[in-house]
Amino acid sequence: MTKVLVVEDNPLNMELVIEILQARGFTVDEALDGEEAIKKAETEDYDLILMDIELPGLDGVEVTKILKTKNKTTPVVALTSYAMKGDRERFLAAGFNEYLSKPLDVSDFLKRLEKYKK
Amino acid sequence: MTYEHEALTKCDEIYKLVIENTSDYVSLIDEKGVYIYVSPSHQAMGYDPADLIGRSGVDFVHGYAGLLISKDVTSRRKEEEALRKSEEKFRILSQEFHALLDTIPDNLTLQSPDLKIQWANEGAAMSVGKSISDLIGGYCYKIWNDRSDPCDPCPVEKSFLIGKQSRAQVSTPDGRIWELRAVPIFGEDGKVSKVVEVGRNITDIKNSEKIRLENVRLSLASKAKSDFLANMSHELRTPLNSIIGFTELIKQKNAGEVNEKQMHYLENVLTSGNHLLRLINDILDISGVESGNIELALERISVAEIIDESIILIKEGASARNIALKKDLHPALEFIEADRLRLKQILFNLINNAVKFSKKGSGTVTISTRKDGDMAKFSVTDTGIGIREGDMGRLFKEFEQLDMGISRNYGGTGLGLAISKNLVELHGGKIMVDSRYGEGSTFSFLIPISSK
Repeated sequence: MTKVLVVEDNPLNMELVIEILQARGFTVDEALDGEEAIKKAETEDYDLILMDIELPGLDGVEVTKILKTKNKTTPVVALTSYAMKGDRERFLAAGFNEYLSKPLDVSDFLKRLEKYKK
Repeated sequence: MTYEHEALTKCDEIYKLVIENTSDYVSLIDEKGVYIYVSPSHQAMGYDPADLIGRSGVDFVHGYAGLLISKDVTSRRKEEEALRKSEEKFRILSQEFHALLDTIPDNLTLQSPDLKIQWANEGAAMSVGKSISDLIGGYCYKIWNDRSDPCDPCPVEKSFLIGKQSRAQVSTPDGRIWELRAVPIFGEDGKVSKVVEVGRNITDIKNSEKIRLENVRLSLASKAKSDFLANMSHELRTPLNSIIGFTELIKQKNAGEVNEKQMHYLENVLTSGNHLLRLINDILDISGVESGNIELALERISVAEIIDESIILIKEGASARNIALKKDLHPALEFIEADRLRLKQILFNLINNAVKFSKKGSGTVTISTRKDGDMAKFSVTDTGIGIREGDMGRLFKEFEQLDMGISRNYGGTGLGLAISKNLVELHGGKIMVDSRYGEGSTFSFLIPISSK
């Protein structure tokens, strides 16, 4: 079973990602902000973390930096509405393993998740 | 004693008194040159007047009788010599000083209380294309400002009034801006006798300051605009994610069976959602181009290939509307050095527009290329609705569609042509349009074949 932590503050987008993942057999945990994400990542071993960037409190970039200092191996994928020119490069440079922009292309999204499957 | 005699005696006494007390040397000699009278003042020369009387005065005078008044002129000669030297020195100094003042580019004038110019330097004369002599006796407000009365404020007038330096900034009718400084000169009576006015041309400084401020303002405005657009894009994408995502899930039957009509509605939602997304992407493009963020990645591109790649994206839509796509590629133009993605974007925009505005079922869109000197010319010709003469100017503006019905009937964001124009210009080229209303349009652009 592949365990995924979804960090997302927008409840509709959270629901969407969870629906897509569960339909494909992923086990999903949710965190509504950065602090919750850090706490959950400490107690649970995730195979993948999907991280929104704009979050209340710590933003996705800051949270990812903290997560990476604690556990370098869990891949963190940015899932964000920041889609201006240069954003992809910015997020990859900040330590994200992959960058996906919203709105999600569902089939492309699933294709990209294949490699994280256990 | 008669009255006359008395008066004469009295007069004689006065003369005597004057003569005996003057520091000048007064003597009386006869026709042989012998001293008859010698004034006491001669003692100052080392002579006793008593010794001189009866002696010949030929050493001093030349054979005539009369009254001799002589002066000690040694010190006056010295004074005169010193004065001559000092005048000469002053003359040289004044010459040097004038030469020095003439090298100063600022306007220097010396003005009397009636504001008449008494003296001016070469800089002042040159600034109005006149000679110094033309300026002298004139008024600065007349010469520089073509006024019949002093400027308001006039720093010279003020300096005369307050006895202190004063400054002002004035513009002359020719558009020049001057910084004026008036410095009072005081006469012996302690009042201001003259005022020196220094006028400096600060037009360039003022203008470059203006340009600098304008640049700052524009870049701030542009930064604010792109920040706003980036923000708006983010905010629009967030809800769009749910709209498109959930629609997709239902379509994929994640929530159970979907009947034909429901499927059709879902398609409609997706089409609109994707249109909205394209609008957002176009906005990003515009903001990227405008803030100068786009850097071209130039590479050697096959012209035939890039046109095929652009057409692929449109083919389906064109055949659905029964519009023929034709190519007319000139063999002389095989390769071009350009940014592949951007060139494709320009071609796509133009061809897509041509298809969109062609009459359904009867149109032809022709893509042609020509070599025009060092430039490559790409043209897209349609047999569509055409453009009215008066609307041509608005074509390449952001968010402009020629009438409100267009986006309803034809779709699109109104940004395509503006983006294309920016991208063509980034390549160092230009975009043109030729159209007949009701018959069709040709959009062309020229870009350099090689960047060298």
